[in-house]
Amino acid sequence: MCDLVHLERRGIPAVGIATAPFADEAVQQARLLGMPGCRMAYIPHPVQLLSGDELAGRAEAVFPDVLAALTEPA
Amino acid sequence: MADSSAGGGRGPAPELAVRGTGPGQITVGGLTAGGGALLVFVSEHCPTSALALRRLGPLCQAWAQAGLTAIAIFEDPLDVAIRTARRLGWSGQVAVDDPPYPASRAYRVAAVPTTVLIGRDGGLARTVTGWDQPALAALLGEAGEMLGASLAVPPATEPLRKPGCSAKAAIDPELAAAMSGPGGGDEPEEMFERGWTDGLPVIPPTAERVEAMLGGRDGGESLGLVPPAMGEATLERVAACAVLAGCRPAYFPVVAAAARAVLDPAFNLHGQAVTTQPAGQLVVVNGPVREAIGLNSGMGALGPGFRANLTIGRAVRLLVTLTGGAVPGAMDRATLGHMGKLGFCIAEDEEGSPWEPLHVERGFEPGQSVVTVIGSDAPLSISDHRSRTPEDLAYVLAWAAASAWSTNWWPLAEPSVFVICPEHAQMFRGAGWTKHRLRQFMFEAVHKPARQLRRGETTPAVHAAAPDTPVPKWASPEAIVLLVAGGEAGRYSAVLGPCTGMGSQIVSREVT
Amino acid sequence: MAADYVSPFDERVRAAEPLAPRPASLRGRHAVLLDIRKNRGAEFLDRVETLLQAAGASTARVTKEIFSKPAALELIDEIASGAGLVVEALAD
Repeated sequence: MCDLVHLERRGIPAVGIATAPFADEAVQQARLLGMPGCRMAYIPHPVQLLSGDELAGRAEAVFPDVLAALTEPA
Repeated sequence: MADSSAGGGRGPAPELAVRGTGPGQITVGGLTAGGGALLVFVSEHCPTSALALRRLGPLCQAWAQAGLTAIAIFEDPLDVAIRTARRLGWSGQVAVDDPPYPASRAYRVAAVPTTVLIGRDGGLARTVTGWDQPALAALLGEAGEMLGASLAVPPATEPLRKPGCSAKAAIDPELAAAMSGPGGGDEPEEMFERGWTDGLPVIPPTAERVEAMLGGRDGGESLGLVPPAMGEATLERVAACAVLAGCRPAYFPVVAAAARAVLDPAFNLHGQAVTTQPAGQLVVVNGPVREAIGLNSGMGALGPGFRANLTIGRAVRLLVTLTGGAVPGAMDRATLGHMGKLGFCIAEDEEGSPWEPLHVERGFEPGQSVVTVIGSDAPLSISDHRSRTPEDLAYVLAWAAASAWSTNWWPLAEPSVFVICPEHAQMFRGAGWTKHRLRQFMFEAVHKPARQLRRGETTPAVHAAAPDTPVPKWASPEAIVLLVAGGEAGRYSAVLGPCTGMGSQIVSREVT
Repeated sequence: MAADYVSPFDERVRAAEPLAPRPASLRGRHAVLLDIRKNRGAEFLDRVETLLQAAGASTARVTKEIFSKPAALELIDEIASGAGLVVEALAD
């Protein structure tokens, strides 16, 4: 989250991808760092034991959110 | 209580502008795009809201596929809403209505939970207040007719009906302000309500107490930002934490030194504060200050009972959890944690030790008072009553740590901290073993062939090694930290496992 | 009326900082994929990279030193000097 905030401050649109259990922490940290609008996209947890295909599937499924985070007006 | 027709008038649903995790506001139009919308107004503190989220939560995905978009609208901060929804198994969308709760007011939400069905045309179809299974089943029946689908209903199990709680939107603003103002005379409860505790009562940090704690020092001095919230650790705030913890002013120099140490970037407090690992911040105190302020290094050295030990450790943790925002269950994600996270300050028994103390090993003069901080797991007790040789005892001590962090993720570069009791230390004194010799012996004693370690999760080093190659527990003898403390009688030492994978260095600071 | 307490919290009100302006599309933009080095992250980013390329972006991969620390400001500067966009992953 710190990284995303630093990048946004430098004018770089950024998005972080995390598994769903991170959501509340990310939201809170973004607010504490002064940039509550900082954008994240979430995939279901867990990922460690997924097959390669399943992991790629997670990436495909979340990509629309990634796109939105990078292109929706701030 | 349950009122299934209060919102039955078919007018247009009031507009919504609530916040979710995505960019932009969530609106009625956005929600009904798929067919219909189900708004569930809830509150984190309300047990009936929890019941509703639990009973309705699992149904949201199937509803979404049929065209009904369900959203839980909380009157709480967004991170609290997300966390609560997850905990209760709510699989629909999550949003928050910020004070002064315009959405709740627009929908006339007097009590939570309130469930509202909105049709495809944006019309307000039906409202249910509180938990009312039959009324909700009827609401979902109507939704199903609208969408031409059969929608799952919550099970008809007890309680079928339960009254809700007052919504924040319904509370008179002046009354709410009075309710949330400083409490009457119950200061301990006031501290709990403000969230200024670690779960135990604290000493209220009045300006007077904080000034006494500072002892003439400049409260404006900044020690840096405390992660993860990046609250600034002014010396005044550190003093406030010390007061909260119950420290005496005489302890403050040690607290301040420990604060400086944990805030050294090399310590990576950020990683430790938010990890799922159990790690707490162990504070080891050396030098004359131990006796000056009554720090215990004898009987019960790792346990409770001594104000200096307990409150100094606690003050450091309050800095991390309050100023730094690393509250367990919120930003602090430790899956289990351990009680050392309440506070873990120990003093070394330098006088009883056969060896140079930790601070001297680390380059300080014996007469300097020093604080050393190490990211650490809970103590594992090591019983040895029968070893007759230093080799046997060293073997037992070392192998006790074999499972610290993992039975097979070997080797570990991060420190395991051994606290060796006086009777055990005496064995090594009598045999003339230096710390170096003991450390070397322990390092060499704990090896396993790679094939035994290839079970479950293990390191690249183990995978790469030939099956019979011995792999050590520790990457080097330097990962073995040796302290002496404890009562004169009894043969129980202990080892504290590491906090791994975050490049955390051991950091020392002089007490000034 | 409560006694005047010294709060352990840093309660300075931070005005919410704005995000960087967004481009209308990824076409022609340079996306840096920042790998925080948790297990499976690189593999995950492989697919994200393919998708970004399919959307018309050029891509580059950068790895963070330690996942549990914020990236060094030098690394942020380095990324910022060449990037149009950043995707950081995968926190689990």
